Amino acid sequence: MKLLIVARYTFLEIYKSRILLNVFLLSIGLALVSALASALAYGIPSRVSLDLGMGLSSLSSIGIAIFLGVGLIQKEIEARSIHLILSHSISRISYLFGKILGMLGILFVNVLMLSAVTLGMYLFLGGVFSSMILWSFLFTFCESILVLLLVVMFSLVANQVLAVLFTIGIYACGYGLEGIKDALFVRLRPAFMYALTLFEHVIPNFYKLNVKDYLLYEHKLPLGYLTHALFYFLMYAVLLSVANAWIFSRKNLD
Amino acid sequence: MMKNEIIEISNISKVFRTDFYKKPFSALENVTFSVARGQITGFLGANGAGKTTLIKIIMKFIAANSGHIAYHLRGDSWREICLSIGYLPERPYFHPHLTGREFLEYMGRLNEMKMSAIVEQVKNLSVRLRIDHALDRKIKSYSKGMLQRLGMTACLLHDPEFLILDEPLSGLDPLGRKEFKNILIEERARGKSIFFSSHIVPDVEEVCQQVIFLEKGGVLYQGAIDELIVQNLKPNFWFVLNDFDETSIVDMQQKFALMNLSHKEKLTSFEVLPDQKEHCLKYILDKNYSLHAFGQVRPRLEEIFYKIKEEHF
Repeated sequence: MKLLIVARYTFLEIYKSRILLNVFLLSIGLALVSALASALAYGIPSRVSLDLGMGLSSLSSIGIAIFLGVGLIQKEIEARSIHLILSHSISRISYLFGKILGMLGILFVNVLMLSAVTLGMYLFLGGVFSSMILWSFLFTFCESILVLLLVVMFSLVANQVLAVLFTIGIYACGYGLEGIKDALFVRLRPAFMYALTLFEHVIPNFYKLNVKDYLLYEHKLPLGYLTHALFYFLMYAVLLSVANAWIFSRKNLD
Repeated sequence: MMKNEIIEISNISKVFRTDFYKKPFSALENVTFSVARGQITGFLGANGAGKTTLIKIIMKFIAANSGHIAYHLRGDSWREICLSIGYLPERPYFHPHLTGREFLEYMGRLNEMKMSAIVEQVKNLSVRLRIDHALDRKIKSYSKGMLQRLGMTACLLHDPEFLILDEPLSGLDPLGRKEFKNILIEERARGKSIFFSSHIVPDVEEVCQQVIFLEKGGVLYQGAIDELIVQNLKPNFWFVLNDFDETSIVDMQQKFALMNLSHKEKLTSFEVLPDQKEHCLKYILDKNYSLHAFGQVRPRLEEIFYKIKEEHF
C-alpha cells in the first residue's frame, strides 16, 4: 500500500532529524525533575511525579504535533519535493494520509517513551497501578492526533504562522469551553449559553479527553464515559480527516 | 495503433490571481501543441514564459482554467499513466535527512518496483550518473549538481517511456551539462520520448529534434529544428581555407566582397554573396588554395528564435 510507504519514509525522515533524541533527553529530564520535585514538594511524591509526567507528555505531544505538523505538507509544497513524490503512481489522498500516519508514528513513540518514564517513576515512588493511567496516556495521544489534523488542515489553507495561531486558538477554546459554560455570567444569559453550545458542536471539546484530574484525585470514571470520549475523538478525527482530504485533493500545488 | 504523438495539449489557458484585489494574470493562453513520440522535444522560452506552469498542468499539480491534455501512454488511469512518466522538477529538493539510497528506494517503491529491481537499477544508474559515491550520505550534504544527478537517477529509475524534464541542465558544471546531454541522447536511442524545458537555446539545438517556442504564455512555433533551420537558411555561402596567407587574402578581397572574415589557427573563414559563390569556388580551385570546407550559411537556432520573437511582438 502506497500510504504505508509514504508513512514509513516520513517516519524515517523525522526520526533521522533527531527529534526522538530530544524526546529521549526530555524523558531523562522528566525522570530527574520528578525525583527532585517529589522529594521537595509537599504531598504524596508518587502523585506529584505522575502529575508532572502527564503534563509534560501532553505538552510535548501537542508541541510536536503543532510545530512539526505545520510543515508536514506545507514545507514539501514550498520546497517542491511534493512534486517529485506526486509524479509517481500515488494518489494525493494516499500521500496526505501517509504523511499524517508517519507523523502519528513519531507522536506515538513520544507518548510511549514519556508514559513509560512517568509510569516507572510513579511505581518506583510507591504509586499503585490503575487502568486510568493508561486511559490518560491514550487520551493524550488522541488529543495530539486531533491537534495534528487541525494544524495540517490550517496549513493547507493559510500560511504557517496563521496555521499555528489558529490551532493554538482552537486548542485553547476547546479546553476553555467547559469552564466558561460553568461561569455564572454565562449561565444567567441563555443566548450566550446557546452560542457556546453551538460552538461546542463545531470545535472539539478537548476537555472531554482530559482525565488527569480524575486520576490524580482517584475519582473513578465509568467505562461508558471513557468509551464515549473515545467515540467523540473518533468522530472528530474522521471529520477532520475528511476535511483535510477534501482540501488537499483540490489544492493547487504551486 | 500507436499514435505519433505521446502527449497532445489543446487550448490550455491558465490565469493566476495573487490577491483578490489585484488584476488576474494570464500565464498561458490557448496553448496548443503535441510532443512527438521517440524524439527529444525542446520546450524553449524566456524566464517567466510559462514553461514550468504548463509542466505543472501536464503533471496535474495545478489545474488549467480551460483546455485538454491527451496522454497517449500505457494505461487509462492517472496512476497507470504515472508509471510511464519520469519527471524531474526544476531545482529539485529532496528530503534532507534521508540518504540518497533511501530516497531512491522510496521513489522505486512508489513506482511499484521490486526491491531487487530497485537495487539493480540504483547500482547501474548511479554509476552512469556519477552519484554512486554519495548515495550513503544524507541528502542535505549534497551540492546543487549532485541533487540534479540524484533527481535524474530517480527520474530514470522505473525505466519510464516518457521523460518530462524541467530545466534539467541548470545547476550543472560544463562537464555535467555535457554528460546530461549525452544521457538524453542515449535515452532517446533506447526509444524514449523526452520533453525538456530550457531557456538556453544552444542546449536545445544540440540535443533536440523538435522544438516548441513559448513566449508570454503563447506558442510561437512548433516543429522540427532541421525544418526551421532550412526555412531560415541565409543566402550567403561560407568557405574555410587552410594555410591562407595575407597576400592571398588581399588578392581575394580585390575580386570578391568577403564578409565575416576570421582566422583561427591555420584556418581562415569568410562568407560571400550567393551570386559570387561559383566564381569564388572556381577562383580558389584555379589558384590551388587549400579548400578545407564550404557550404550555405546555416543560422543558429538562437538567431531564428529572436527573429520569430521580433515577428510576433
